Parts: sequence; C-alpha cells; structure tokens
Amino acid sequence: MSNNQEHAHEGHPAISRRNLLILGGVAIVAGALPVTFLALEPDNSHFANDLMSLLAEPDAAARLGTEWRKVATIAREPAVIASSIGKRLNPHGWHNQGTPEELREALKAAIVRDYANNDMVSISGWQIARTSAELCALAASLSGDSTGDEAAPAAHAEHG
Amino acid sequence: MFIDGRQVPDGTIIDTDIAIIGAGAAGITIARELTGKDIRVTLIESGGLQFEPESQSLYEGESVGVPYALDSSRLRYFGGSTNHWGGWCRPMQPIDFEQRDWVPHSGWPITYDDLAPYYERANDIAQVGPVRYNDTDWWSDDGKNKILPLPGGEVTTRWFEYSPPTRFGQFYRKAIEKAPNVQTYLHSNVLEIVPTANAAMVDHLRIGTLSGVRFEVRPKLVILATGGIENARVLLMSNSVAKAGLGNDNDVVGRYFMEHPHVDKPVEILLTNPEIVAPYYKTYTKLNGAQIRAVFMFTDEYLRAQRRLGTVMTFYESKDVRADDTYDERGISENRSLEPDILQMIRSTNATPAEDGALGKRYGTGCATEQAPNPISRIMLSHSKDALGLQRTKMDWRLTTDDRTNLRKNLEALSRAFGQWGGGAVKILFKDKDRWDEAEGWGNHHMGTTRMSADPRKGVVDANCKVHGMDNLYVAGSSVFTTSATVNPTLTLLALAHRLADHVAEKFTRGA
Ligand SMILES: Cc1cc2nc3c(=O)[nH]c(=O)nc-3n(C[C@H](O)[C@H](O)[C@H](O)COP(=O)(O)OP(=O)(O)OC[C@H]3O[C@@H](n4cnc5c(N)ncnc54)[C@H](O)[C@@H]3O)c2cc1C
Repeated sequence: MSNNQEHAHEGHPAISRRNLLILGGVAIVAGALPVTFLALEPDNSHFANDLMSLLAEPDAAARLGTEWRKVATIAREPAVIASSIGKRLNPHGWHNQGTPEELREALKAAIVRDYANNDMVSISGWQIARTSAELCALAASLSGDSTGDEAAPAAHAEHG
Repeated sequence: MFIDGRQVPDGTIIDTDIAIIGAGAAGITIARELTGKDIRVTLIESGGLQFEPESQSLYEGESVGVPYALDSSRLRYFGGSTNHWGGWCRPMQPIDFEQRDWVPHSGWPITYDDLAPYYERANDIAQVGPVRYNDTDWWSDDGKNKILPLPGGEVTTRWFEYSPPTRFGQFYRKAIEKAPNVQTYLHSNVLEIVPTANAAMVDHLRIGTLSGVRFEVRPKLVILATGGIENARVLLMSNSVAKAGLGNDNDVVGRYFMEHPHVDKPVEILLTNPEIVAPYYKTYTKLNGAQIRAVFMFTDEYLRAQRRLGTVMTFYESKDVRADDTYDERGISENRSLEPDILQMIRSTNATPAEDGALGKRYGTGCATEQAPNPISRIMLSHSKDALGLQRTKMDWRLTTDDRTNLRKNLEALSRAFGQWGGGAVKILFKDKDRWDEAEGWGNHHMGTTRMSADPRKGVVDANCKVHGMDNLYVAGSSVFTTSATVNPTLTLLALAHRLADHVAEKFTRGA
C-alpha cells in the first residue's frame, strides 16, 4: 500500500446520495441507501464530487473499488485519486470548469484510451479501464472503506 | 461394389491402380472424385457399415501427455469420424498458410489461393451453404442483423457454416457402392504398407481381418486416409523395410501433433443492451440458404502486430442481470455479486440509465485456440498390441505455457474490444497458470503428424501431399496440416482431398 494511506481525513461534511444525484442529474435505479461519504480535501473535493455525481449508483462503484483494493495497492485519499483521474483527462482537453456532460464525455474518452492502451485492471476477473477502476476506488474511499488498510503488501500487487 | 474382407480367400492378391486406405471424409471424397474415371480404385476400410466394438477397439491406445481419449475422438467404420462429427465448417484464413516469424515451424508450401477453388468443392460435398464465410452483408438479412461494432481493429466477427452434418458413410454409400471403377473392401485393415527393397515405392499393402484372413493389394499408387492420428501410426508400423517407418528418414512422422484446445467459458461477457445482439451470435441460425453461427476471431493486423496465434470464440445468452438481484440471498455464488455493479459502472459512464432495474445480460462463451506446432507433441508406437497384433498408438500431446499465454492475451484483446466499444465488459475466467495439467477440452481435431513441407527434413509430405522420398505414396487428411489454424479441420482436409484427387487423376490420365 502506498504512503498516501497514512493520511487520515476528517472534518468535512458528508455528501449524501441525494446531493450526488442532484449534481449529476442521472436517472437512478432504486437501491439501498448509500453509504455516508467521508470528507474530501478542499482542493479536489469539487472535482471528486463532480466525478461522483456521474455515477448512477455510487454504492455499486464503491463495492468494485473495495474489491480492487483487496488485490491492488491504491491511494486511499480521495484527493489523490481524484487528482490521478484528472491527470488522465487534462492532457486531452478536459478543464476543470466543464459541464457534467463534458466531464462524462472526457471520462468516456479516457476509458476508451485506457482500453486501447491496454491499461486495464482486473477486479475479480473483470477487465476494467484504469480510469473506471480509479473512479471506483474514489467511491470506495469516500464511502469510508478501509479494505487493505492492514497488512498492506509492500509491492504493487495488482493484476491489471 | 462392397466386398467383405472376411470372405476374401486367404492369400488373395488384388491388383489395382489406386488404393485408398480408409473410407472416412477424405477417403470417400477421393473415391467419389475418381468415380467414373478410367482408373481402378480400391477403397480399403477397417470397419463395416455399422459401428462394431471389435473394430473400434483397434483405436484404443496410451495417452502420456495432456490426457486424451484416443478411442472416443474418432470412429472406425465406413464414413469414419463423420459418423459423429458436428458439421462446423470454415476455411482457414490466408494468414494461416503463411510463414509467421513468431510461430516456429509455421509456413505451408501452398497458399490459401492454391486451395480456394477446392474450398468451393469441399463446401459442396459437405452440403454446406454458399461460400460466404466472411460476408457481413450476406448475413445481414436486409440490415436486420448487425455485427457488434467492436472497435480497436483487433477483434472481428466471422461466420461458421454448418454441414447438416453430412454422414459421409451414409450419404455417399450408394454412390460408392455403385461406382463401376471402385471396389470397397470392408472389415479390411491395412497392417502394413510394404515398400520395395529401396523403400522408394510402395510395393503392396498387407491386409488383415479380425477373423484372421490375410490378403494383399498391389497398387500403382496409394493414398493413406486413415485419419490424423492413424496416418502416422500406419507409417510408423510400416517398418519391415525402413526400420523407422515409411517417410520417416528425418524422424518427423508422428511429431507436431496439434489439436484445438477447447476451453469452456474462458470469459463471461456482460452487455448493457442485449437487443443489439443479432441471433446468429447466440445460436445456430438458418439464413439465406445456410445454417450459420457468428464467432469472434482476431484480425490479421492484430495477430501480426502482437505476434499471436488465433482463437475462435462463440458466445451465447446466459442470464438477465438486474439491479435488484440479491445474489447472497438467493444463494448464488459470490462471484456473480459484482455483475450489477459492473453494469451500473458502464451505464454511468455511458449515460444510459437502467430502466425498470434491467441492467443487462450475461453471456457465456466457448473458445478453440491455435497451438503452435511442437515437435515433441507426438504420436508414437506403444509396446502394447491390438487384436491384429499391431503396436497400439502412444500419444504424447503437449501444450505449452506459450500456448496458454497466447490464449490469455487474446482474451485480453477481446476485453479491450468490448471495453472500447463501451457497451460491455469482459471477465476473464481462464486461469492464469503455466500448465495445461488437466485437459481443458479439445475438438477431436487431429493435425500435423504427417505435416506438409517443401523440405523433407521438416515435413513428411510435399505440397502435393506425396510422401517425401516415395514415388507413389500420398497422404490425405488433417495430418498433413503444417499449422492448425483455429477453425475445425474437415473443410480444409476436404479441399485438400479434392486437390489430391485431381492431382492423382491427372497422373493416371497422363500415364502413371
Ligand atoms: C465428436 C466429433 C465431432 C467433430 N466435429 C467436427 C466438426 O464440427 N467440424 C469439423 O471440421 N470436424 C469435426 N470433427 C472431426 C472430423 O470428424 C474429422 O476431421 C474427419 O472425419 C477426418 O476425416 P478423415 O477422413 O481424415 O478421417 P476419418 O473420418 O476418421 O476416417 C478414417 C477412416 O479410416 C479407417 N481406418 C483407420 N485405420 C485403418 C486401417 N489401418 N486400415 C483401413 N482403414 C482404416 C477408419 O475406420 C475410418 O473409416 C469431429 C470429430 C468428432 C470425433
């Protein structure tokens, strides 16, 4: 597990599922109530929120993120993960002031690029674009998932 | 005319022009092609017109490599293994004949173009539909069927066409029986192809029946067509003059045995929109004069760029996946529990929200994959003997880590294609390990044991299927394949059989 996990995050207001839906404007399938999201670092919280708002079912993404964490060493801080996703989008024209639709398009394009570049990770065998996987990891972190906190493997254990 | 070998007087000598050993797909095709010509043809078949356990048991043998069923993977009576084949037909691709510098021992001495006209005739004899194997428009049914638009240029859709499946022994029995120039000896086993003293020509065939009769056939030319394993065994057993067996001066006979490893569910696929999957992907579909099935294959560009061997993948509907699926409650295995989540993820990034909780569908798959030619994967003679007193087959089928890696990489390419398309996701179930220690499955496709090469040091037969170093001995069947490609072998061996029939007929027309 990377050093990033040593930093704890506290004190920021929780993001409700309802807020996420409002942000994203995406039709949602009825599901269980969402987990309570923990705090974000101020700088990237906006972007992380924007990313989360695109998800039809943040809990679903969080479960995938948790699953990925079982086999891979991934940053734990939402800000770090969000920034990693941002780095995948920015060189291809994404700017942080875009609309949700533009963000979705940028994300989609990044996912296509990941697959084209063979940048996939394996989540229980599912071959997922790294950008999607990081989105899941972000959801997991925001949901307070602690998988992988203990006995973190020294090496990068991912099977992607 | 059919003659029961058990009724032939002991010691009889039969003179003929062409002896064909084995009345399976290849032997019957050649006999049929020679019918009506001014050539005396003798077709020699081990079995009778029906399955008989005594004849079948001659196929039993030892398997010492990847476990293999030598007996049930072929049938030993008139019609051969077509008495239970599945009828899947598809020609090889041009690239399959090429020398690929990343595939050791690849490169046929003939090209796809050499075989193309014979594929048409092969289609006819196997009663397959029109030759439209790669024709997207032809199978679109006026635009109703669309291929999945998988981007990336690595994976493509192609089609298999089906033979009914033609049971060659039943369907062509009357034609062979009535052929004025063809005499068929049933219950007659070739015990040895006996050459002249210098082993440069076949002198005669030693024939025996399980009832103990022994007689001889003295042909001008011989075509060995006993199937992809038995062809090698018969050559190896023919060792009274050439101690290593016929055509085996360079120790190639029996080597390079190839199968198509078959893996059930190497991947599962989730699609958000099952509506767009054309019926021909999911099952056998009758369309435009044929029975077809679409498969995923890998493009030449991909195979060249990534230095891969091919794989064919079939695809079938398995189950709807819903948002309200609660796998744990219904006791469905835990590994299914992420399926709704995966589909939700795809839908989120695609902005295709689910309606009424229906998230998508799960599809199962199957695959057959190409193994690289490998000299240590081989057919040998066992110490144990069959009821005719002949050494049984000993098979050492080898599959390598590279063969596994190749398949795994192809599955990753499939995952990339579905991922880039954005309408689905792929889960790789094929285990990431080194060995094929338990046979994952096979296709009953026996290839490579008398391989074709222009160079006698590297192959048993030449481009005309003639055994190197022998003037009048030819081999028919998938044992002559230099590489296995990924598609079922029978259409190609039928094409080669037509080509061989033309070749030998011409020899006799010109004066053998
Ligand atoms: C279950 C099953 C399903 C299959 N499905 C397909 C499919 O869908 N598509 C496909 O392309 N292929 C399929 N195949 C493979 C196909 O059946 C073979 O490729 C084809 O039959 C081989 O033709 P052949 O003439 O070389 O050999 P065979 O058809 O096996 O014929 C060989 C003949 O030689 C005879 N013989 C053997 N030894 C001697 C001897 N010493 N003396 C005299 N006669 C002898 C045998 O009795 C037999 O009649 C399948 C095979 C099996 C077992």
